[in-house]
Amino acid sequence: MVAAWFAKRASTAATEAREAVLSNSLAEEISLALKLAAEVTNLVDLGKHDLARLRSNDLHERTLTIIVRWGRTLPAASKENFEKARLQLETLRAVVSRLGANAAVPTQRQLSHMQASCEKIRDIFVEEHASAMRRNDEAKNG
Amino acid sequence: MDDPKALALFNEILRNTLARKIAWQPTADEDIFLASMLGKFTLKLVGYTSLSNWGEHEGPPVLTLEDDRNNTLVEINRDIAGVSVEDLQTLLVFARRTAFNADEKIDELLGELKKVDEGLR
Repeated sequence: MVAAWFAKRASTAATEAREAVLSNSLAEEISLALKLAAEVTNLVDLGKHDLARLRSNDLHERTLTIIVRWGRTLPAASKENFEKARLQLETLRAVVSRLGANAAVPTQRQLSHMQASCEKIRDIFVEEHASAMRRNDEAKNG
Repeated sequence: MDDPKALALFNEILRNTLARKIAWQPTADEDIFLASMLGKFTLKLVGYTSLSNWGEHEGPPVLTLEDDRNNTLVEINRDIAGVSVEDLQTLLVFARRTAFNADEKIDELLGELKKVDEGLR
């Protein structure tokens, strides 16, 4: 009976440790995405559309990875947030590709829409990074 | 083209958009609006049918429903029997209004204009 109790405790501890490790990796993944999001925002502000497209591609890939890898364990609100980021990125990529291909300078209105979209994407990663860190803290503190 | 399911979906989306019950979001493209539905579907409203070689918008708005793997499930355009160009334009106008919280801004402006009007009396 004592052996069974110890075995159960060990199993619970192993599950918690595994969740904490996975959670850590998610926070790290989001942290990298957040850096990319900041880079995309700066490139759009500077009018470097070709580079913005490349970085948007990288960020899109990372967002997809987060959705596919952690989709099942993420809270519904977080999953929806990452989906929103993915969709915003797809439109942003199309716009910067078009501008890059035509070597065009965006109008003030186009630029303000692009900047607003970048801010929205960055806000999502800031919010989700904080949520992932909070979940880590909660897991560590039991 | 007859597509009763697409028509029913469009009518519900239009009704809910007019009632401000769909959270349309602006995007980097000023003529594209998105709304997430049930966490697994996306409504995408594009304010034009296609882009010309010169980048000019051509044709009325198009609404698509996509799943979480980017597959287009339905495309609703003027070719669907019962969907008029006017309905598509109405959807675009009110989706834009929701996306930019225009109602609140219009109310604020109306309030100010009423105050000015009352001050003149």
